Amino acid sequence: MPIISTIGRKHWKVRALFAGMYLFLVIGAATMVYPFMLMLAGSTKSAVDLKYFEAIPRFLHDDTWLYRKHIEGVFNESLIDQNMAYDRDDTAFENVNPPEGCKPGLLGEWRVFISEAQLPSYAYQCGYLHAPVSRTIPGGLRAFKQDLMVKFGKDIAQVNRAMGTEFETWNVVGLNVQPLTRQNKPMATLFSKTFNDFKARMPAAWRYYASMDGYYKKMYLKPLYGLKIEEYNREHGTRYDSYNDIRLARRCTENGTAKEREDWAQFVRLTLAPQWIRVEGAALAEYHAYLQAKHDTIATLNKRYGTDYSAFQEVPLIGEPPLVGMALSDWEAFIVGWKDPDTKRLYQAPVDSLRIFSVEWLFRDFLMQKYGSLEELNRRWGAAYGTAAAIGLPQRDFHYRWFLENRRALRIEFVTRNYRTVCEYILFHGRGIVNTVIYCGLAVLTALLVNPLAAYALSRYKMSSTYKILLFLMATMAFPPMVTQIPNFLMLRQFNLLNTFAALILPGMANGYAIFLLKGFFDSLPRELYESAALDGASEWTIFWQLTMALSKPILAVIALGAFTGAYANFMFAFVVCQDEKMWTLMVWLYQLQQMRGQSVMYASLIIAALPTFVIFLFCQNIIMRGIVVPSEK
Amino acid sequence: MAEVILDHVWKSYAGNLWAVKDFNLTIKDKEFMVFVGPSGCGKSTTLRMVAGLEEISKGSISIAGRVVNNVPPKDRDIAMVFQNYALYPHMTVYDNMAFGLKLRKYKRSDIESRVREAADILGITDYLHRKPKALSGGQRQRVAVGRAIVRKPKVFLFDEPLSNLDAKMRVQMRAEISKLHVRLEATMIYVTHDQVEAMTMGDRIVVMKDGIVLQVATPLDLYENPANLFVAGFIGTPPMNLFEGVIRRGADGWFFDGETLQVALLPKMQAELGIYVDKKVVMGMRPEHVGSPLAENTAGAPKITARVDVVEPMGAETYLYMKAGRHNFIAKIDPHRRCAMGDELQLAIMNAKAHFFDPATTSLIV
Repeated sequence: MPIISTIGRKHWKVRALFAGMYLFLVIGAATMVYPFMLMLAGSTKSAVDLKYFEAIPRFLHDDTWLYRKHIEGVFNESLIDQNMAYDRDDTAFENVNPPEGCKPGLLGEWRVFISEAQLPSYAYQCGYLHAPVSRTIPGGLRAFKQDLMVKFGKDIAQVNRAMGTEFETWNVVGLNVQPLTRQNKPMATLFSKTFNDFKARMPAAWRYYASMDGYYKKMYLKPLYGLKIEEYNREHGTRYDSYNDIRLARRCTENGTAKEREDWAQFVRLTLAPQWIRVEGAALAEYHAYLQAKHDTIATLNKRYGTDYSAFQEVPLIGEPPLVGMALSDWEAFIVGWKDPDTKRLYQAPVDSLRIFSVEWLFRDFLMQKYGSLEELNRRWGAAYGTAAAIGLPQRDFHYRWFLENRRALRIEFVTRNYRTVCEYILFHGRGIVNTVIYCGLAVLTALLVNPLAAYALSRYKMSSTYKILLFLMATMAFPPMVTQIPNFLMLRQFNLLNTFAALILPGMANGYAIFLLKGFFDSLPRELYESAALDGASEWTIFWQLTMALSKPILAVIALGAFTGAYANFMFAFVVCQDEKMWTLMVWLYQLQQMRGQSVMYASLIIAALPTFVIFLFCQNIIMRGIVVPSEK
Repeated sequence: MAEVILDHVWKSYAGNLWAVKDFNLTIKDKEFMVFVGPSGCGKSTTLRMVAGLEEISKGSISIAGRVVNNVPPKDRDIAMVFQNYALYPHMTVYDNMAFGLKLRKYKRSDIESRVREAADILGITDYLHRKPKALSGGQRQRVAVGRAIVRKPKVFLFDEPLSNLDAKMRVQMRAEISKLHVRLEATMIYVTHDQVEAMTMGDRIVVMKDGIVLQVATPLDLYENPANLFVAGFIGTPPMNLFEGVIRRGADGWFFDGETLQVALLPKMQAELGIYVDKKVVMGMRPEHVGSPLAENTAGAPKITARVDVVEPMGAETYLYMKAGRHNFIAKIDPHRRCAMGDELQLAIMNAKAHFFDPATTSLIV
């Protein structure tokens, strides 16, 4: 009695049974599909949403999350950079929220300013260059590499020769993007120059300009006085409503209280990089005295500086500090203060001569020049700036405006970038694909030759030892490949075959299971076919090829597929017997990739690795579905 | 000349198990020879030895004057048709038929004309491009035959070629193969377990049992003069009625005494039966010689009385399954004669057509 009979299907019990079965099928399907969806979603993650496991990544439907990902990308996954540039105190990118309402305000002016002001390249950093947490290749870095390739060709050695870099492969080409502090000085190498040229061509909305206000508060005031403004007010005798009201004054004298002036001087002298400081003429005499004390004679100075002044009085004050050299270190020491070891006299740029030279102040100057007065500016934009210093950089709104206009492109970028990372990685590793193709091809070929020949012999000729041979083949199936790996390795080493295709193919050429399967299949072919062919005058070889093999196509397809997936997925053994990088297969390369890239890149690499097998299954499904059916003539 | 001679041929599997024992036969050129017997009687084995698919354990087989014991099948100039057709499933009908010719390196045009000709003869020209899977059983069998005839071999071997066909198709193909034999004028050896096929097709028939040849004869000879009890029971539908009894010498002459059934003997049989007086014999009598119009109209035919067990009207005749004491037999009567189950009937029996067998040796006495 069958469980589901062909009659009585309308009975409620049968219907309930059907419903139950479908329910199980659906649950089963869901448990198959859901992890795959998680994989797909995982491959689109970056640091900010990495910990959320969802079938559909939230940034696809939630603009806030897309914004967070974008901001994270723009600030190269550095929260401190964001907080400084935006003058905020966010604790994580996860908590970053888009600005409420985007005021047109000074955005237009800002756009004009950054395109006209010709700020030095160290004034800003570019986004999407560095992903230290996600460990992927963001769009900016990708474009930079592309740039280098256009310039120097696809050979990384060319790049190294031309720029004196030491990149071993394209994959290690990266940019160590760090906030510009006193320790991280702008560099004068050819590579950084190339990079700066590139940076200038990137979208303006991917840049973040160094905000000295933010830097001052974030790196100096807040660590000293805490996040609460009351603390600050108490210490300084001021009455600020919030830290937002505090600005880094242009000059020391512009500060309200003595304590504030003291902070300013400390900060400017000791923390601020000299690029952001200008020293005014009043300091010239002191400077000359300082140089004389330090270098003794003008000849020494000329020798050290590579200049030809005839007297110290001729040496001018430095405007924009040089990138390298003794002049820079002397200049730095002059700003910090230098004590002559002999006379114990302190040489130092007078505090009143120090002036902040920052993007903020340049912008404020730009606005003042354009509008003439603060009142005019306020009137024009309906703003209420009390002082020029109150004007901040509208970077956050600027970024947000760009974000609103490019949400679609951003989504596409986030969905595809890890895949592009993997693809580029594979492409730039010359022989990974070629090796895999050769290996898989040879593996399939040998599997289709050796196994059928062995099975044919066992099936056609009833030897007395057939049973024992089959038993032996069965025994080979009992050992997992891990057990045979090391002995195989040792044997191949004895034969001096390591790092050859032979090492990859020989051990797996004959497969006990395949022989077993084929023998059973060949046995099931009618004996009369062979006899008929013999009567027709066919040689053994003809019978094997034109009859047995031709009739076994479905099962041969199954075996070929097995050989392909075996070879394709073979990682450990391929790695063990071919340790030479030239012989690495795709899987070994991908394993290496997973070591140096992040989790989401790993997901993407796994999905890409699954594609060839998937495509083959797709194309072979007919032949596989036909399956292991004996061609019956009855 | 393609005479096939089997000379003291023996076949053994695994030591002492003899599948064919001392097979002697000369198949004349252009003869249609049928091997018949129950399954396992060695008829297929013998055929396969002729084909070269089985080794000959003892004796020799010669085809067209050449001893072929050690000649591989492809060089024996024979073709074989198998019970399951053995068509190559992945080839079209055309390729199936051309396969042997291609392997023998015939010219393309030659192959084409031969295949066309064979297809013409068998009426399968329309299916040449099809795969065997798309053909019916009868069509497949034709292709199998076609594959044999394209090579124009000296000897055709058929191994139960019609067993997989339905009854109607079998009758049709039977006639076609017979016609083909006439047309091709080749020697044919045909193996079957169906005695109707054997009777209708064979020029001569070899009846085998347990690896032994029981009788070699023309169909009619086999029917009328079976050499032993087995042949008598095997040939003919319905089979010959066999009655166990004793030969008695009575007042009115000799008679066969089956206790509940007695039949007077013709004087001419007495010579051979002389030594069997008062001894057990088996009397054989074809159903058509009991109660048939022919028997009823024969003057002096003795009558027997029996009860009707089953009535089987066939249209042209009616078979009665009769019971006379311990004897059961079948009578073939005039369909117009009315009778019903349980009736007591008097039936004439043609004692002139009676055969007597020795129950010990099973061979024919007279």
